[in-house]
Amino acid sequence: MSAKEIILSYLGKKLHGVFETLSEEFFAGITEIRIRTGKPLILLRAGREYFLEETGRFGELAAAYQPCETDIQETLALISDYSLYAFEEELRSGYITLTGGHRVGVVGRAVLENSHLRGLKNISGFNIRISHEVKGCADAVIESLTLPRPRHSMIISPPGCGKTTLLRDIIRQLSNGRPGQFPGLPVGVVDERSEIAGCYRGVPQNDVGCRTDVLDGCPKAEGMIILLRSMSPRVIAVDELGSRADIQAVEDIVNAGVTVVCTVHGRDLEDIRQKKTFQELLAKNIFERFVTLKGQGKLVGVFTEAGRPV
Amino acid sequence: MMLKIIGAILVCGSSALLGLYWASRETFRADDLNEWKKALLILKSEIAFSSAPLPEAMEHIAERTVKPVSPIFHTFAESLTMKTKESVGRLWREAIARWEKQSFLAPEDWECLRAFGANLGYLDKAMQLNTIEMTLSYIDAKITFLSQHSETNQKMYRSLGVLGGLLIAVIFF
Repeated sequence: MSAKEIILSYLGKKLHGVFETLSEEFFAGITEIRIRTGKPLILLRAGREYFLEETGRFGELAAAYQPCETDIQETLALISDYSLYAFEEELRSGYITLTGGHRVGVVGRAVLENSHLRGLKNISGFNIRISHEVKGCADAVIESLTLPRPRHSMIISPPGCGKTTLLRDIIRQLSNGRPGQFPGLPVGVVDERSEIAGCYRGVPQNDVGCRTDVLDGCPKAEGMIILLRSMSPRVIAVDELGSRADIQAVEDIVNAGVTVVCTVHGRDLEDIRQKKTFQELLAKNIFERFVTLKGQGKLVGVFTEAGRPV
Repeated sequence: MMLKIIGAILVCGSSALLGLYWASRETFRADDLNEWKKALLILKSEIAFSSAPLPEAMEHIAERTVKPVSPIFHTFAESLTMKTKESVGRLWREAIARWEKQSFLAPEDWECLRAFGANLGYLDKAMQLNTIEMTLSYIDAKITFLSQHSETNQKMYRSLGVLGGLLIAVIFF
């Protein structure tokens, strides 16, 4: 099924009609669909905003279709398979993953219990993020990360520059291997936010390679240790390293002889060095390769720990 | 004369049979209610322990119950999976309407089950379990009522059938 068919099947009756007229080709390029009660319908495609009218044509912001509460309710019912109760855990984390690895972010009114978030009610808006698999986007960097042996690598980039997309393709290539260069390795992925593999009911919807084990929805620090113990991976990949616990877990798995590939929010290596949580880790000279990105998935370069281009 | 006697016997016989049928209708209704109870108990555990989404849970129920309950759940699961964009309440009513005739439930039972379907899906876990609990308590009350009254009712229907037949035969003889 194409991205359009999948997304349409989850939209309420009226919204379905609005989106139906868009071409498959246009749809495939969309990165985000913003649906908010009583607010204009906005699409994001290649960094540009589009305002969608009720007829399915693009127009000015003021003329854009404004979804009503029924649209939101119908869409919510379809997204949750008519079973909100089954998605309480997901709602608590703020998003639901659809078939095909597309993700729907959800906002509404928080329901608290003992001052902890128990769930959401009065859902008022969605952000549908269409998952884009770009096979081969790691071709330019994979050799410097794996030859002559897999190296501990860190992908550094600001949000929205394609960190996760690049990581996914690195995982796929490491797992499948490249004939004549290196054999495929067992890769363990801790996919806390279901972004890398885009699991639907536990099954990866994106191609992450044939030797990859995905621990879906698991907190990173715990997940890395679980994978290390249970699946004996040669490489462990995680997205968006951040907390102290994550960094401790990285040190543990490096000590166990497993290669780490991870992504981090930041501008470049210098920026990461400024961050307190990473200083200790970087001081240990564990990581050997740093890949930095900017703009829409543009590769700045691959650097060694000394900051020299490879 | 001979024809009259044969006619009278036929009237008496069919009337007695009718009485027997009415007497056993109550037993059949209790059987159906028991099957529904089983279905709802399965749904309850599907929701409480495995958080299965409705289409999956309904399919499981259809597999583990028998007619006339299982086809309703099967139809309902199918229409949910097709993502027809209709409301859950409507799909549920349609599934019931399709198979209603094959069951011995009374109109009041259907009313309760339809109301149950209207609340499916939109609520959080605790509320969802509450609505199941409510429907279950209705079914339980009906089953107890039927079992207490069935003995006397059955006797009544049976004798009503036989005596009614005799009465008609005597009047028209």
